[in-house]
Amino acid sequence: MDYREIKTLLEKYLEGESSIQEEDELKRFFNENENIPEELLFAKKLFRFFGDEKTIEYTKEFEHKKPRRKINLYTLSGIAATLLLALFFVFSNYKTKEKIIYAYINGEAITDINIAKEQTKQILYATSQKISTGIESLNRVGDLMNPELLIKK
Amino acid sequence: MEQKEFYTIFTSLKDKVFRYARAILSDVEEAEDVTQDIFERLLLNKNSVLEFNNVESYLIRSTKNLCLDRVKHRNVVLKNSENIKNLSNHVVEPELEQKEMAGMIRTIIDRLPKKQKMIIHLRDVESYNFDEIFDATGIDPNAIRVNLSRARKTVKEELIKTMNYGL
Repeated sequence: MDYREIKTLLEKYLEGESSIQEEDELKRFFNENENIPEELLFAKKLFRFFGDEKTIEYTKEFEHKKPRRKINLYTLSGIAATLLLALFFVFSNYKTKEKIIYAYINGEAITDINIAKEQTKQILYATSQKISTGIESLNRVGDLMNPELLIKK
Repeated sequence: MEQKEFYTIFTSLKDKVFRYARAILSDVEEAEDVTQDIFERLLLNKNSVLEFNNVESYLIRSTKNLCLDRVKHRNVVLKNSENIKNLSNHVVEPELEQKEMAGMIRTIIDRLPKKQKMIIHLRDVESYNFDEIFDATGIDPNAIRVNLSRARKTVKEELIKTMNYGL
């Protein structure tokens, strides 16, 4: 293939109208010929570059990084949910089983609400009786407000 | 998809995916990351991928999308950074200092508009025909030809400029 043909092919190439076969011919020509006229030197460099690019390989091994991470996330969220659920049950059980101390009577804790109510009633009743007996002597305070009565006595 | 089938696909397409990612991102480490990501996704979506009769064009398309996402993210990060000037100096200068021809051509191609960059890579490195490029990019054949022609002409002009400057 002479330079005229090559130049024509290059023109086609630059217009984006060359076929893959024609482009292969160009690549072959420029890779095989060392003495290229200066005006076509760019093409030699360019096709050499494209050829070299195609030999670049991905040398790393495939690692199952993300899938493993994904499984871990699922497992983790599963564990977290289970823990949360377990905690919830433990806590709610604890709450219902926990006895509320309503009062201490003679150092004994009263946790039964009915006994506590009964005891409270009794205490209130006893206290009010004590108060009502005491109140009688207070009636005399009212007499102080009446000077006539005071004088009579 | 059997493990064996997956590794067959990985072995036959890993280099193409990596090269394409590298061409779009012009960063080896990021391209490696994308390659890893692409095949992880393939493993995760294996059943839906198998419905595609062409796994290669599916992978090349996914690579493009993932890379463009990263480029977008990168732009946002750059915009948010106060050291835009410093960063861009760092990116460009070492590449210009590399007198290695491959580095120069890679830089020239890297400066092309996205579409042109993708198309010239798929065509001139991977020897894709226009139908395959259409499958991979969704760009119609006439626009492919126009973009390819522009890319090749720009690369030629820039390369000649660089070579003359070097002499």
